[in-house]
Amino acid sequence: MAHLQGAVPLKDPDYVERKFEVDLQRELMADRWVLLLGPRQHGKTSALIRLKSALADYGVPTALVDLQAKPVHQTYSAFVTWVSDTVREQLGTTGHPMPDGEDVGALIGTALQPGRSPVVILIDEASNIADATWRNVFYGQLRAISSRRAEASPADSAARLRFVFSGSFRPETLIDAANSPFNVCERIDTDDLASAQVHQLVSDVSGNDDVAIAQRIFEEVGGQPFLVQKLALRIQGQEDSSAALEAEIATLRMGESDHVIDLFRKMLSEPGLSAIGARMVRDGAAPVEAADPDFRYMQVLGLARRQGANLVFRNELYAHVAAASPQLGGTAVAPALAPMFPIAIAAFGKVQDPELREIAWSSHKGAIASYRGGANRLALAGFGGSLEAMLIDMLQRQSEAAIDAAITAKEIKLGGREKRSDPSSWNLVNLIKAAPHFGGSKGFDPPQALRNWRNLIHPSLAKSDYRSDEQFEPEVRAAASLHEILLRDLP
Amino acid sequence: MSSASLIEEFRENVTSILLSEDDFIDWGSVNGSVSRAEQAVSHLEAFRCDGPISVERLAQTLDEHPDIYDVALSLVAFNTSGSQVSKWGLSAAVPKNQSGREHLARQLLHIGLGKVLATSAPITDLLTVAEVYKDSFRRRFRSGDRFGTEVRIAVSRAIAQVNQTLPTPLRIKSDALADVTLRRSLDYVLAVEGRPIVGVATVFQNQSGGRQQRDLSLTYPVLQQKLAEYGMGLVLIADGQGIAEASDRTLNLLFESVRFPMTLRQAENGRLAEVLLTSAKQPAPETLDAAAVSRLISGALDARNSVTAAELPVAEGPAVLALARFAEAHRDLGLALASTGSVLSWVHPQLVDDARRLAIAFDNRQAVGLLARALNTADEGATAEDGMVWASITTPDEPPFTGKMLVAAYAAGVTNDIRKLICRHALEFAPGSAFAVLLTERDLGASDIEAHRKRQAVLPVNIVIVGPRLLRQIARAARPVDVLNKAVLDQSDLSKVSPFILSNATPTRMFFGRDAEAATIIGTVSTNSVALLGSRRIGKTSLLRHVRQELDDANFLPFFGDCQTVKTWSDFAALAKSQWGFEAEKDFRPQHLGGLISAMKAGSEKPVVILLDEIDQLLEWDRLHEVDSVPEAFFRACRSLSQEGAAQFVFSGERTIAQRIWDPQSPHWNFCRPLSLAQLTRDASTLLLIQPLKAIGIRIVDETSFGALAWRLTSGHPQISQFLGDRLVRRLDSRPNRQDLELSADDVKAVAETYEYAEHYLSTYWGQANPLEREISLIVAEGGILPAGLLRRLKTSHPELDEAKLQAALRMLELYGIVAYNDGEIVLRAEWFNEAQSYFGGRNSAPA
Repeated sequence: MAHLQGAVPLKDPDYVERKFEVDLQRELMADRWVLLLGPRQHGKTSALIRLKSALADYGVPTALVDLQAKPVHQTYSAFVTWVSDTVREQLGTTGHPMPDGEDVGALIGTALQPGRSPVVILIDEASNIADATWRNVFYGQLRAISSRRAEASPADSAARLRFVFSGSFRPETLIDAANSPFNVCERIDTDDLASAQVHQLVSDVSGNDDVAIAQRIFEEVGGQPFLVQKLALRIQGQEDSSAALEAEIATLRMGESDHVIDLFRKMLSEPGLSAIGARMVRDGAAPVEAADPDFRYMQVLGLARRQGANLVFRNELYAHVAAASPQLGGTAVAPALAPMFPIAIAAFGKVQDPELREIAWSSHKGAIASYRGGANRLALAGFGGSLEAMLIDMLQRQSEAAIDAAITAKEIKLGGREKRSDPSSWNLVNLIKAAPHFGGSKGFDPPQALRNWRNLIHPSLAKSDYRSDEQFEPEVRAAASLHEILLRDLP
Repeated sequence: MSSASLIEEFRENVTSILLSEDDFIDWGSVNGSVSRAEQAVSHLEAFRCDGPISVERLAQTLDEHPDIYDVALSLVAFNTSGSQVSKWGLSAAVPKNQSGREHLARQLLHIGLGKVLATSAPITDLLTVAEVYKDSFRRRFRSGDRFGTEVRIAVSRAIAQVNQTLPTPLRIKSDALADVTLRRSLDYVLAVEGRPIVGVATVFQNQSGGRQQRDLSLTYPVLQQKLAEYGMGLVLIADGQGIAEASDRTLNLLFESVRFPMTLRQAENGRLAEVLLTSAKQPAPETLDAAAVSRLISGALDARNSVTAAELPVAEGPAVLALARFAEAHRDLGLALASTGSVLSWVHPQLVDDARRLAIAFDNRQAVGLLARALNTADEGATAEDGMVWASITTPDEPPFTGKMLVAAYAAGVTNDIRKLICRHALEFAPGSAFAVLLTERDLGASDIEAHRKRQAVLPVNIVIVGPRLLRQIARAARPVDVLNKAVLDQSDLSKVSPFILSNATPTRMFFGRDAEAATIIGTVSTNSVALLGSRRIGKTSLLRHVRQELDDANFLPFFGDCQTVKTWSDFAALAKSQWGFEAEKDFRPQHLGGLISAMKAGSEKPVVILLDEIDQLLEWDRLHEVDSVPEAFFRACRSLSQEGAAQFVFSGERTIAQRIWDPQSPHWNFCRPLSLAQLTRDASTLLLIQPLKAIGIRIVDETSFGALAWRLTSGHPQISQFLGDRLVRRLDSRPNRQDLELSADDVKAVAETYEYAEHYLSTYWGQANPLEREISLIVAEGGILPAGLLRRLKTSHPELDEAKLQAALRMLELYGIVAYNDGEIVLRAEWFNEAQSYFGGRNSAPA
């Protein structure tokens, strides 16, 4: 049966084992610590559950600590105690005396049964420690265990412990490099299902053994297990499987899926990633830059895969969505709605005033939601509002002399309500005029068209050159694209 | 490999033509000859054009221009040589008298010169064709020479290669073969200590025909037969279109009867070295009688535990010699020859007896006991459980052994439950061992081995199956542990027995090439502190741990502190408590450091040395926090204590400490002696790679080229060297035949020519570099550059860059081992950097 949420149960007969699972167990059995990275919904947790069971069979005590399941803790001490308790419970050592202190290495060390056999700790969703200080201390303490291994005696917990850190994150930035246990791990990336495995899974999930259907699914989403199951479920019990499948693919291609939205939101929220995505849209591939973690992260997210010296979209679906997304400069004609995605507030990090940042972000979010809801005028107003917040913030950061210089250089005429010293009182037309003066070397130059579009929020202005709401759809695409460029180039 | 696949491989490697363009027609020589005859050609052309062709005119022209004679001869296809010309009634030179010239002219026109000149073709062209014809007589020598040269080079290289590993060198030695007739049939006779082991013959056939087929199906098989009588193999290097066209039947005959047929390409690509090595390792051949006696000795030793000279069907003297020869030829067996030479027996007859009995009736407990005794240990505490007997026994503490090993015996063989049971016990009772042994009543068959190896990958320990055959080999071996080691390599998932440490500080066994740095630190800490600077994974922690041990031995009082989690002064106090057991002041501040060190010294006369690994984070905290408005209080306290002689410090770190120590404006500029930890020397890095491989029984083919390539691929970076070593071991995992595991430069190349290796190389060398440093490396990678030129180039993209900032960046790149100075020029030090880059593109490049 299909499992679109959560891990696949241990006893599910349809579970398809993948190569990365064997590699993971092999590295662990060769006494290596492992960093397991892969996209969300890609089978990492299911693999860990099976790994734990397999290791137990061979007498290797194993504990799985899912950091996504951790309760809210008030102190670091409470957090590491919870980790230690979780380990103790699974290793059957809850009665062992627990030392005082906040060193997770020491706490886990006393959670082991006496002896010298290895003990494996699986840390799932390893990025899920929100507090940066806690995160650094926690992983630093685990790294310290690794540092002790060279000289540890066989009974020492440092010699016995082996860790797997699993998740979908950037290991190089999650914590300080100097005390990162990820640096001492063998890295394994999850892999997609092979074509034959897709066929098997589609057949198991949908009951449809048609090779052509499985092949079509594989062509569209490759071996992405979540998407394969999603499509397979869609054709379950359908008379015309092919038509049902194509309809679902069309929906996905419009970005109408939490899975797609989440992926593209992450990419669009980071300028480095969205630049790579835009390059892949423009040229079909992006040459991989050595030792640049952005290229690695595009693969970890699951959006891209390496093909020789280039990155390409991981499957046809993502390539289609990106090619039609104005936010990535995609110009492919979308059948109905262009795929458009909200982005994280962190993407507005250059807006320094927290309130203006929130305004810009929420306006953008509203614009996307409006477009997806079929309200194009509101979408245009949202993009305009977001831009206006960014411009006010940028001008507020300038000195009075610089503002004066901009007013003179750009021949700006301020109206009665507009105060020279307070850009927040300026009309959008003047903010846009002044912006290139402060644009830096990237040629930040917002167009006045955005202002016109934003003004459509006023019924009287909308009526003066009336067009129906749906006729503004192309403008929304253009506005989304422009907004992306301006956000990228904002000084 | 089957005969059919050998032939298929042979056919795939046949070169139909070995010749280059100049081998067929030597145009240099042809054009030279035509050019030298230019004047004569012009005279002959004038003769042809200025009047009718007649004897008189030709005789006159020969008189005026005797040089036309050679051209004339060439035009009638004479391959000019005096004797040949005379044979046809022509004079060797233009006669001096008129009648002689007329006779010559008449003869020339008679044999066809007139007809040649009657054509309209320019004489230069005619002469060119004629010179090509003449050149054809030299062709045979050229082509023969080419083939011969290439064979000679291949033979020399193969000899050099195998001599890297042979205890006694292999040499070309024609007179080692007594039979002169046979010797003439061979191009080379190769011998070890004067004993001929292989003859090399060559055949290049341009076409296939009856004679050629006969050579292949009869001549060379007979030659092999004759060589076999001397215990020699025949290496036949055969090539050419004729070989390519040889029938399957002919090649079948050749391959059935000649020991080592191969093409030139195969010979060049390692096949020759392979067969030379195999042949050189073979024991000396025996005559028919000797072989029979040897067989009798072997049979007797199989059946019982000793054999005497009297039992052999030869006279006493030859019998004693036969026993001695047998013992010599079977050094791998645990045999003892009596001082009289008349009795040969097993060193451990009881082991051999027991192994013999177990082969007939397997017994779990006895099998475990036998193996333990063979390995010179005891099976104390052997336990029976679920029909299985197991014990933890002592082994040597050299890779792949780790001092302890679990041995189990279960007659029925391995099952899933037995695997689980063995793994559990092995993990608990022989922790750290990469394998356990299971003794069973059946050896692994050839068809079982692949599946067995595959299954090992997911087990916590490799399970090495030892059946009666292998157990017998162990019992009879001179060094049983070697037999077991071979079985480990043959059956294991090799990633478990890989001796390379990729991610942690290296243990003593892998500590190579840091003696000079260790000596510098130890020599310095009597009076001063040291700042050990180095990039990530360069080996700082391993060196510090090693130094701590050395300091201990040298009567210092060393304290090692891992500061990876130490980010504040309080963290440092926590470290003192957890790692050294000393309680610092409750609210620890840098001014409390003196008190802490006094407590640590606790009346000892030994000088205190504090080794603080990964100090960067603490220094950063220290820089940003003040005590009484003074920043860097912790570092200042260390400095004061160092100057007072209360303690010396060895700090290790990367960027932060380097900046503090290198910065002349820093109050700590002169505090410590900076010691940059660079890559290993070439010798040390080669040892780091090769020694562990050899220690687990992997042979290195041609260590020189192996080491040279590894050096280019690592530039001595210890972590990259270990990564390379680990990947080489894993590469062996895919080899179906693991009887004689070996690695060559080709394997190194295959590992390195991957995206994975290039990515690892660059992320290790370049991972910590900032964008400016990366840009600089890319510029330097284009070619050496002077600092001023570099600054000019960078000014466009970095207008704010000045000389000081550039120097700081260069210093970091030097520390990372990416660049170096050479006569004032900045050059690339990481030799493979450019090639690694070729696996990547870049933001500004077009997709490949």
